[in-house]
Amino acid sequence: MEVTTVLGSPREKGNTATVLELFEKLMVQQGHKVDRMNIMDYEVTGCLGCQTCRKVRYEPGCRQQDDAVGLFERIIASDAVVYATPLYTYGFTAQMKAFIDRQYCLVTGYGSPEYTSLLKGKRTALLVTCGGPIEGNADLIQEAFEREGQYQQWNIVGKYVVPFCTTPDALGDKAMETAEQMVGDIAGQ
Amino acid sequence: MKVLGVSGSPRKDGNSDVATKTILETLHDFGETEFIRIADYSIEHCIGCGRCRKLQRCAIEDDDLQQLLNKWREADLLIVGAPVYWLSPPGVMKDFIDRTVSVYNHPVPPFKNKKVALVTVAAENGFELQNELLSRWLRCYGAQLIGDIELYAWEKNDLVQDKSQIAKLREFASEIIGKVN
Repeated sequence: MEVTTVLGSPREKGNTATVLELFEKLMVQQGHKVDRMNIMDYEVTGCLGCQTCRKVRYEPGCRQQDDAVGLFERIIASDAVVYATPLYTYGFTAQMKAFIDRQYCLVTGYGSPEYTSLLKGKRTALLVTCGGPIEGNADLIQEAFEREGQYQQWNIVGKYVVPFCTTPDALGDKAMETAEQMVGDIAGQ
Repeated sequence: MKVLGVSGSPRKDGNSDVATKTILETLHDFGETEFIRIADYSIEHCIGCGRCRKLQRCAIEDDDLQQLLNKWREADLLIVGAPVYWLSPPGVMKDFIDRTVSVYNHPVPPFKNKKVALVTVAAENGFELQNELLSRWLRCYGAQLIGDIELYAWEKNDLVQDKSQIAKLREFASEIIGKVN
């Protein structure tokens, strides 16, 4: 299978990137293809709420001329997507949030019989690393991801949170355990 | 008294702007009011460099963060209006929220004892998740939440044409001013 991994961290070698990279290596070892996109390497500005995209059905209808639509096309073409982000103030990093917001253009006809999403049935997963606990900290992001997934008609295969992170060196077994679990859930049938 | 209305919407003159301004109009007689939009300020993404832990301010200095933070500091009452984008604040507002981490360790929390009212606009749902995120964030920085209001709107002029929700906003404005003095 081909899996797209979206890194929403500004740190190329931080905790999120470290866990994501382990996952990617395991996937490649099993013969899968990985397409990584680091959001910080692209220009992705926020959604303007203009609603123009709601009139476009068979392609991402966003009118903004930056890198987001090209990234969406890569996601649409893949079999699975991992959204990976450190937890910044109880949510996605702002750079990841801009990308998430722009996915609004992938859904059309909400509330009508024509309601559909360009990511319909897509296997998706959320990976979060955070400095604190999961409870009362990384709870809102998981709930938001779950509910966005319903709206986007995703097939969510898992939500993974690595709590109490400090530095990548100190991740220890947690990193590999999480990566292995992700591979099993995402590549498994 | 200084009342600052902040809209976190990327859409100029959208429903969150209208809602925030409506509250400011209602509170006009109680003090000086000012309306600002976060999207009108240049706010870079947080780059997670961690230098703020030592500096007690952000290492990124060539944007409008300090200007915006000062606006918040100077206000006695803050009205924070925002639309729900995928069950949480829009990216442009999240940039400001993320960057406030730079004053997390500041000896005087930037919004210490600041009274804040949340004005949340959604097409359908997501109020509780968004308000919980904003509440936790604001409490971290010493703010005191004195109320929140949930409004339904989607298209640009939905709210301005909705007399009952505008009336509800004016009533809410009166309620919060009662909690300030």
